[in-house]
Amino acid sequence: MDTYMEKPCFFIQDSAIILYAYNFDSIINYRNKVDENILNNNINAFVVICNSQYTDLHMSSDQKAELYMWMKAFPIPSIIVFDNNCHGDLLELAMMFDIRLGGKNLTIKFPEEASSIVFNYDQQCSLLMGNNSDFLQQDSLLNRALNSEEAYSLHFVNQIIDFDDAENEASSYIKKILGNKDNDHIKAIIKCFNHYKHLGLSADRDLLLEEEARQFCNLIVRSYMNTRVNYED
Amino acid sequence: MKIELNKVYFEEKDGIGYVVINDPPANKMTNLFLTELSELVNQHISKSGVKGIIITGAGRHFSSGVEVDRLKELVSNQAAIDANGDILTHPAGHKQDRDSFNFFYNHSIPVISAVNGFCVGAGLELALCSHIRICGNGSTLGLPESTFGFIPALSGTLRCVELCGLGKALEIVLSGEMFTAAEAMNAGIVDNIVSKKETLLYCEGLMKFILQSETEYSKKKAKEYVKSFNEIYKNY
Repeated sequence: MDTYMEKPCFFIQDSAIILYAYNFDSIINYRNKVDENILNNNINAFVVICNSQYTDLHMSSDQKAELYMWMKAFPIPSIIVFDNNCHGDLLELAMMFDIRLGGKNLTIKFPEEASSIVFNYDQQCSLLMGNNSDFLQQDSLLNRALNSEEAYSLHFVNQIIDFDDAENEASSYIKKILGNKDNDHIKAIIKCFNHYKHLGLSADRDLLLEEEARQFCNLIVRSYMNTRVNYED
Repeated sequence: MKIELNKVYFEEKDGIGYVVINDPPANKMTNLFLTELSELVNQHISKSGVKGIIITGAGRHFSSGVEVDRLKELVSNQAAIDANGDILTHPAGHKQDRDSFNFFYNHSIPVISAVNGFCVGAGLELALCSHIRICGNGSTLGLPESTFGFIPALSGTLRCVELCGLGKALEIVLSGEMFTAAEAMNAGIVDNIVSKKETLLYCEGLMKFILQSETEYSKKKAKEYVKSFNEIYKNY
């Protein structure tokens, strides 16, 4: 516990913001700083590390809604690294992130009913786990508890990690998925996925695919122009 | 009946329509292939009375995807951009390709992809537009577009989210890494892995099994069909 609580709350490591969430305010308080770093292209990922054992995470519905709207349009990959018991407000927070990395002791307890949650619970579950998931088609996750392996097999978490080495695990993961892509490229890809978050997977298919086409054309023209400029130079 | 174009053919046998990418060994999706696929879809497949469709590649591979340099040049020449670099006019060719891929996804009859060897980029996107994907062992899959500076754009990003969820889909698209058939199955991208020599045979058996089913076909039941068929496959 001592080591975890001694960590600085907010810092930048390998072009990613790392934020230790000891309570809800620690996320909200740094919101402007995060936005500023994104705007200035200083970072390419946002990581929140949260161990429920040492975290006091209570949010009002208004605060949750505010955070949800922020995360839904987040322009770079958002990653939560979490461990131990995850339920209630922490679960809602975790479900707002693009990517979840879970510690080996992670236990996720889904709520008894969906009505208390700020976002559309079913829609968010199908977005996070895929609407073709066996489990979601046959049953509901309401009132269910999942260990880290089960959460991984349902694609609720992307990877099971050593939580004691959370920062390095997150950094390696970011390196693996982002490689040496530039910020504009990463933001274009995220824009396409944010469109699915915004509309939900049950929206009209042509509408859903609009952003993919738009970002594809923008990226390919940009790449072609760069090649031409380099060639002409 | 067989409609044979330069890079793709469509053949009807026992009520099943076979769409075969026919440019071995890599079965690259050239401009000619994409134009011919669109022609095949609009003029023949959509008007045929087949009860199910199997998509596959001639030879060892399903498809290694589009030619990147050619694609960049084509899209850039067709697209109009404003002073901020935003697209004003989308290239017609891209819309046509997306429509022919989505034709398979939107079809109400079963569409199965028989995947062997490389199934990469737009090749995988075509397979993702089928309702069921069966992989031969040793297959290699991936959406490497992001490593070339762009993004899968024939509905691959959406299909990935639908099949494996946002987090995993982002991981696949952002990293552009290749993966094995087993990894694809864990991710929910493929529905079964069989011996590579049996891939097409298995798909034909599965198609007949689905068509003989007394209940109305639903693409949402893909996993159920595969599970039920696996119980009888060895004796098939």
